[in-house]
Amino acid sequence: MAESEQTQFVTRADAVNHIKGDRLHCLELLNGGEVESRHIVGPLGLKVGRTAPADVVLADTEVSRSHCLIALKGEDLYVSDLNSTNGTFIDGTRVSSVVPLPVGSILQVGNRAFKHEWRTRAEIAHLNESDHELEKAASYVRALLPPKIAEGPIKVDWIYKPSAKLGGDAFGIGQLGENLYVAYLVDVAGHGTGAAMHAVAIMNQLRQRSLPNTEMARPELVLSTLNELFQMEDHAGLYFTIWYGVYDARTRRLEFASGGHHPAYLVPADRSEAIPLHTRNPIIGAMPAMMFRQGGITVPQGASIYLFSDGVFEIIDTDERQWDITDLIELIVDPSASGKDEPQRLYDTVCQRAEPSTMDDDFSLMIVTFE
Amino acid sequence: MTLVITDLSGVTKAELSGRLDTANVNELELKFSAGVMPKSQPTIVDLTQVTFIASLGIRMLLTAARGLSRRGAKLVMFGANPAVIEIFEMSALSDIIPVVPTEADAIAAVSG
Repeated sequence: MAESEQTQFVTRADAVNHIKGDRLHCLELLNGGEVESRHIVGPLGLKVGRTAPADVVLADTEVSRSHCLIALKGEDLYVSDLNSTNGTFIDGTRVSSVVPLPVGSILQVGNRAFKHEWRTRAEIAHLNESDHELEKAASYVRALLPPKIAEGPIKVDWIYKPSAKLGGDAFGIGQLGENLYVAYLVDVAGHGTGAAMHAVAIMNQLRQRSLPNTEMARPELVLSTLNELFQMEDHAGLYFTIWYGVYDARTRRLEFASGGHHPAYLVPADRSEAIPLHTRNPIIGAMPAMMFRQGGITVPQGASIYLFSDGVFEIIDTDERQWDITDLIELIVDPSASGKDEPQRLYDTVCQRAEPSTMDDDFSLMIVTFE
Repeated sequence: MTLVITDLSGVTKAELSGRLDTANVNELELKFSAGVMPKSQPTIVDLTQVTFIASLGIRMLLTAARGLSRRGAKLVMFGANPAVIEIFEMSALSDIIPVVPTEADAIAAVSG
């Protein structure tokens, strides 16, 4: 009997309460299958809307200013729609009164979706830590990007918007000699710190102009050497695409090569056309001992080249149409655009047109103008 | 996005459908490689119902092709629509993984 007096009996309900005590309700905003941000629902609840003072602000035209409210009652979450124009949905069913939001369900608000997760504090701390690692990796990539140059024979402007899970984009510009300039953009296939660090390793080779036995002014040779150095089996299964060009200011010739990458475009000062600069070469790291080819073009005075990653145009627009590169080209040669702050204009326009959840890759675009 | 894997007497057939975008590849990649790699036999990939392929989708196919090639087996794709062919051409992927029009062509190519 003495033993039973000392033993604390715990019922199943108590055990559940005990676990609950350490768990928090989280709304996780999804983006391309990844979590873009995590919002803990506390006793005060959370309001979702398009503008402040909503607790969670979603820049989406289909979200009302004050869209819906998520409240904590007892141990459960409840959702009410705040007379939004387009409605609030739980697992596809429209919310018409105050309804429970089960753990694991999907809450749809405009074009965005949240998943309801019930996580321990330790889990949340761990997840936030990995988000922090991604931020650090993104700022490392950012530190390697070139300065913007507004004056002089070569002008450089760019925009870099890493995705929530950080892709492997990076780009640069440099000088190989008094009159020789080089510009490049790499896109590692993958997400996370691994892809970003791979991009950094490639960037460092190019920045230091330190490829073994390779004339850096010959794009085909640069790609060929990179292909031997960065075979995917030796680099955790990662490969990349690249566009690499070398401009000689004396002759106004641009020699270029793309490795598995879509074209860069040469756009004259009057923006009357966009000429693709593409050579059909394999992805870098996909297969050893491949042949690489380069191309060349004479650059008219005042013309620009547009280099960008596929995250710039691989979107679905709000009419549910899959974009390809020609949709972006239409925006580039749009005669009504002023041409000022061009990278930002293109980013803003793509953001306006895209269904937000489909902008799930890095957005990197660099414009180099040759006076 | 769906994936159906069948065995056609010594040839693995993987039938993909829908959009091979980042989200779908994240969900599908493990299933795809688990269905294709352990068999280590010639593999054909049916892309007839694939409407779009992003860079991560290319990586999934390339990783499988390289892995099978190390084990002496070929991977061949067939039935890609013009938009998907265009993406393969842009990245010269067809230099590394053959892309043929029909299933019969694919079976002939992996068996050869």
